[in-house]
Amino acid sequence: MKCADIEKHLSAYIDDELDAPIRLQVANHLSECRHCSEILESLEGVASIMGAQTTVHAPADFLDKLHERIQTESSLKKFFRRLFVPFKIKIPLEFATTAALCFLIFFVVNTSQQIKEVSLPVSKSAPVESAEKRAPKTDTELLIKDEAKSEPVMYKAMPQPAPVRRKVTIELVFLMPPKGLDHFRRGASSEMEVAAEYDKQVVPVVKSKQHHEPSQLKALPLSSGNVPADTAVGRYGSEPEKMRLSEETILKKESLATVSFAEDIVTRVKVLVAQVDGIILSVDDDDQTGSPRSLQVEIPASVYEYFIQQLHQIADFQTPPFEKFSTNPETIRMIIRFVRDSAQ
Amino acid sequence: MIRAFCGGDKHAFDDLVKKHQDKAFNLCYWFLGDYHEANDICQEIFIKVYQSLHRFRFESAFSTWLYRVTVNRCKNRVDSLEYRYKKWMGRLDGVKEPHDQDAFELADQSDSPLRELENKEQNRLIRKAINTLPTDKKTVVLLRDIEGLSYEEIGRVTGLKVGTIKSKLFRARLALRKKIIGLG
Repeated sequence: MKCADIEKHLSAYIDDELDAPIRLQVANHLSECRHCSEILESLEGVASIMGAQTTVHAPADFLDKLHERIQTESSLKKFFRRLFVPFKIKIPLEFATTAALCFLIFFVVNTSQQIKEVSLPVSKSAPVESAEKRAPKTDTELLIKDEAKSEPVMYKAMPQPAPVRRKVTIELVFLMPPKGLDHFRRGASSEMEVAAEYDKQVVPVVKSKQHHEPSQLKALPLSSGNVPADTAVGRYGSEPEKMRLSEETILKKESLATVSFAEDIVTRVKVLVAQVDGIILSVDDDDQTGSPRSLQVEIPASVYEYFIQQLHQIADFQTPPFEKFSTNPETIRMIIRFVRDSAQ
Repeated sequence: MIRAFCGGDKHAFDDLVKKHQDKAFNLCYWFLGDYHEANDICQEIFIKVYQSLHRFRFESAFSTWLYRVTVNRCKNRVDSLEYRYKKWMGRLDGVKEPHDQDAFELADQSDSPLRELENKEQNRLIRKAINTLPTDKKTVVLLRDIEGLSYEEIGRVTGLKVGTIKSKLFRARLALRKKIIGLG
């Protein structure tokens, strides 16, 4: 046998735990191998020293202390048993703990799922909508083509929609003819005459819709900037033919005052707004030319489609207006801007 | 005694404890390297015995069963965070406090004070050397060299085969020889 094999048996050789044949082989090897003999000697020394250590006794009061602890633990067990077995129903503490833990995990998981559902954002494909009570110019969702800067039309990232939408703001852009061609009536004596023509076309009866109260007709100062909010003038379901006739009539009359397209559109929009029981909020004029630059109106959402149809007949849009809204607003605020069409 | 205890004789348990407490305590002391830790663990072991004695089936000797419980408890204690923290802090060194000197009783009281001091120092060094061993090798060398169990009995306590016990014992003694060989 080699030394490596012999070394494995040295401990057992010391302890007399080897079978006779193996023991003989080890003994023969040890008589010839000094290296293994030295190892044997050191191992015997270790065993001897370890064996010579005196026994460490338990303290004298070991048994008394043991009885005290047994008593304490028995009392605790009885207490827990009474706590969980009020009507002699055995509910192990481990089971109760596991059940409580499962309930807690279930509650936490369910709560976190509800939180995730509430905080999911609205997709970007939703139509442009704004939150209530925003300044008209600052809360514009659509950036229109700026005639001065020629920036492309682009969409802003959709803001987080409010859970309940009562009002929606949209922006429409009317294309105006280029400079020099934006005044279509030549030779008009005064603007008031133009206004008078329109006044004639206004029928002093308002048929209210289901949710609108009939209101008294008032002569609407159509050439003025603002209209009182609660004034409803005009006929519901305006007749495009009469409006056009009015326009034709105006065109034929060379004596009519020079009026810009923008002013004309503003007038027509005002009439239309009155017809649908809307409100003219403001008219913004250009400081230099005095021509209207934008117009802000508010109409009931129920008449939106009709309103857009009528607007189509008044002028061309730069971009098509929204046809539908994903939410059900009550009112729709429109910012109508007039942009010079550079393509013409 | 076990049957008497199971039959309702509470005093039989006291006799059982008195008969085996030193064996268990001694093993705990060398395993954990600390007197107070050994006392604490030994109490827990006999509480466990008290609670489980009625389930003892006499398939092995009571001492074998007791050693098995003792080894398992000591292993769990060694792996515990508290013990490892104490060891790291150097608080596990047997008798350190002056008032603990009396609690530490050696079997042989016949030696002179100088000899007693030498024995205690040797004891401390051996405990320190044993504490450097891995748990499995420590278990085998303590059961063999301290408790004097045969390889077969060690196998019944630990569940290891005789060949494995021989191998572990050889390596444990080899590791200890450099540290304690000069103490003899």
